[in-house]
Amino acid sequence: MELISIFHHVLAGALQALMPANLCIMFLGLVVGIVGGMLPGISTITAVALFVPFTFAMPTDMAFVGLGAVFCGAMYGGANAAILINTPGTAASIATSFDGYPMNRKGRAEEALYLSLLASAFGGLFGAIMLLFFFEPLSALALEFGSEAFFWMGIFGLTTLASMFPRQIAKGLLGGAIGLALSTIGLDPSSAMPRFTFGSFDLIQGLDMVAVVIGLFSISQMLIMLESKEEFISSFEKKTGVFRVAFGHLIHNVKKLLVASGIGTFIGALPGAGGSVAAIVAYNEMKRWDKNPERYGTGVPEGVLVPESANNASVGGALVPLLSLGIPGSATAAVLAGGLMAQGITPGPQLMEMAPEMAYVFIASLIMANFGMVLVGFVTIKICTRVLTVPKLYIIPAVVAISLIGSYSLRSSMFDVLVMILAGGISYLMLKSKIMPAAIALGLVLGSIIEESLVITMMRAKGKTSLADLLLFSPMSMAFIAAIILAIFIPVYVNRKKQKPVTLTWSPSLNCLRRYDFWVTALITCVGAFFVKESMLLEGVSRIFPLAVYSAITVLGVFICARMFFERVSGPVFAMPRRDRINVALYTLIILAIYPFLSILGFYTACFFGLIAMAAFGIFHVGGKPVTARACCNIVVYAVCIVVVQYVGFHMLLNVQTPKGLFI
Amino acid sequence: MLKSCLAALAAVVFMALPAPALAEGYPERPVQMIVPFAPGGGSDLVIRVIEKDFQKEFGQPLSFVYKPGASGAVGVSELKNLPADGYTLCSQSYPHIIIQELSKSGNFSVDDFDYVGMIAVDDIFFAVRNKSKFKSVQEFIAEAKANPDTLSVATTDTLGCSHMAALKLRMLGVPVNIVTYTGGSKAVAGLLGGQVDALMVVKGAAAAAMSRMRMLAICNTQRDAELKDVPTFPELGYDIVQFNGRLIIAPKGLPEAVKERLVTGLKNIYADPAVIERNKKAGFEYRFADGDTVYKMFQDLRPEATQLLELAADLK
Repeated sequence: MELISIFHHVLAGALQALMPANLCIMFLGLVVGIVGGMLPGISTITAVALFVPFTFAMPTDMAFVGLGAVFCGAMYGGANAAILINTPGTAASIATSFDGYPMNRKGRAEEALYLSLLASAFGGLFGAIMLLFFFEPLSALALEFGSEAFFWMGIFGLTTLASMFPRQIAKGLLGGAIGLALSTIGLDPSSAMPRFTFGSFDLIQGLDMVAVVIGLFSISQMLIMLESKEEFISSFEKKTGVFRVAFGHLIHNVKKLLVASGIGTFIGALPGAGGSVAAIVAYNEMKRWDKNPERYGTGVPEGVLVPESANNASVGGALVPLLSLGIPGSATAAVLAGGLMAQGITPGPQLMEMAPEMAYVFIASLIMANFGMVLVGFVTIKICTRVLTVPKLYIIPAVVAISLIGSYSLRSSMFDVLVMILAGGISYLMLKSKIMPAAIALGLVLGSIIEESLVITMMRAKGKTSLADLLLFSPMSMAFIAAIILAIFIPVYVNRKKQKPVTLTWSPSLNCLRRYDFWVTALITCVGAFFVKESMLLEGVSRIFPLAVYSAITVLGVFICARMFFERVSGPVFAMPRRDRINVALYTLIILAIYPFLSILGFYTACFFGLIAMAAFGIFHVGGKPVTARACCNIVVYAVCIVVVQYVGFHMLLNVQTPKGLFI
Repeated sequence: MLKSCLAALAAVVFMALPAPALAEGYPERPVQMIVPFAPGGGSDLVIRVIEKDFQKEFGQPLSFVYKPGASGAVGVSELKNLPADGYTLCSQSYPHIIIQELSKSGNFSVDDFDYVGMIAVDDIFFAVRNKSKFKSVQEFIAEAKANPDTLSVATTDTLGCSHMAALKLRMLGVPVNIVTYTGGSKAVAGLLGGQVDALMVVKGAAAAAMSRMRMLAICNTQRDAELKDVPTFPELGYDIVQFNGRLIIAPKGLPEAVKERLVTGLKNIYADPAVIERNKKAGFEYRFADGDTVYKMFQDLRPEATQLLELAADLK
């Protein structure tokens, strides 16, 4: 189509999006998206899915505006929680927490929040503009991306592990392998038969990625917070001109943002990979090519700008194959497509040929939504920073309560709640031995992509082309393999130039037996070995991936243990005061104890008592405040408030049906 | 004589009484619809398009509960244990339930449920991309037979209706290499990108990209109303009849009167041409079948499904 007519359509679309009624829906959509994205448990896909039914009653252009706004808002909203409480609200903002939270700890929370907002809007606009002008060539490129390229992209994503924790490469890899291992539970992708379910029907559905991610980050982070002596999460003071500072960073890093948004748009356009993969890959690339990669992870503005622009750019990207081919670029885009279909609009080439103005209205409203997002985001940031003025002992129970209902709302499954709690507790224990939740989450996000595409490639290889030709010698594969080799050797090379060679004193000693991380690693190794044995029992294609992953866990575990045995370093023997250890253990027990009552008493009632128990234990025991009538009163009022928020948000607005026990 | 007649009459009255009494006010509260897939998918949309009509017809709204997992097996297995009072229904498909029973990926059997009816059909098409050299099924089959196992046929699921159709093609002596994708969008992308040679795909998943594909055949006994030029497989001498039937199911023991009320209600809803039109736009072809027919469809499929599953296991 000619440029002029594109502009004409877009202008018309933009004007339509600015009609008062549409504008209202846009702001409503943005609020729903941002708040949903912010809450752990409401992922981008859930936020869009929950909004879809409301659009059934709307005229088409209004539905377009609303759906686009929710999608953008949710993709951005996750960053708020990632920065403020180190708990990514959606999987897409995992990478944002790497630098966002350190910025917060340094007292630069507001700046980080503005950075994420501006970067999101930048990335969102970039993606939408790419969608507008280049969707034909982009979709052609996305189609060339066969299963073998997906496989290598997954492996390429895993190389992040090597540079994520420079001093703990082996443990980073071990964490990643654990994440991959978690993705093997459930129906296996090649035969759709139960795998590693040990006869439990609950496990057939597999571990929900989002439920595990909530546990990994929110529960374990809350336990970490419990240990620290400070009363607040970070020191927060009102400063002026922060927005201008953030804007300055944006201008200064515009080249990086363009690259990150480009990566985000392209990854978004691939069917099956969405914002989370886009953000991780973009973050990793920026870090890899930085002159001084070590500064990433310590709280640098680029570390927030890059992943946030990439994940929002993926929104436009995800719509590329949807509008050009009718193929949704991500699970969220698929839900969005469902909403459009219910409007009687089938997104795809027919739409572009028969009624292009429809498509352009949609793209225009997406562009407008990104501008609107800056306004709405500005207000939410003002409100959100208040979190930092609330004592952390009040924040922890609230986050736990939201995580409980959030993980339930994913699939209306109590099992997911249990998985979330256990994932939280276990990842806390691993974190204490330097196996980071981020590494596990990375493995989990990439695991199913890698196995699925490997299996599909192997099936394809039974036909004309041989496996080696597909997996090793196709142009896409060779390009990726080259990139992977570079990715592995560049950090090693850079490190060698900079660091003095560490002189290890090879003197075996049994001192390692007194190290906490030795025992954790040893236990993981044993579990890995057990599953290697289990994997041998599987047949055909379905055994390959688990066998590789569990063998990797075993080998890495043995390696790490052996190194501890030979190193002289006596190391930390779980350097944590006894009192703190007991506090954390008791707190975890309280969370675990809430679980059975959720279905006995009813979800909200159990949450109410759970909140009181957690808050009282935290404030009176951990915080050491005197037990007064006034304090008790405060706690009850607090618990009522949180439960009301839960009830209004999840039951009334989102219509989540929670289990009813004796009460509600 | 009279006495026994009266007794029989009394027995009949006694047995018949509670049922209408139950159905009298049904439904008195919102009806829960378990969708065993993620929101926005076919199982959700097929009910969503009649959501408002349901409320108009029955005077009570539907409340949706999403329990995705294992191709619907998770939600359906939960349904099995819920009360059969008509207040809990579920939107699952034919042939999923029997395949999950046979492959043991669900802990239920076809007999664990009552079938309210089938409300729509998604037909499966055999498609190639429009750049493909194959202009007809015959050409494709001839090539496949000449060079066994070189042509790849993709499916949009594993052990779902699309996979069954591809397996049936192979069982009928067409040696194709089957590639099972996990989801319509990925499979369509694989076909359009030329990673596979052909695809078994339901119309709904292909609708958007139809202009980039060539539909060579339909896996049903009658042709599609819109794509009249596309021949059926049985016409061509290949007995492949597979489709995705959208069902409304309930736990076993649904009172007969409640079931009748639901069936009449659904028929009333679909009597409105506007509803049919809306269905079509969302990609569903309205084709009603009552509960007994659905149950018979399952039982008829049983022997064939068993064979197909064995073939699938052999191919792994």
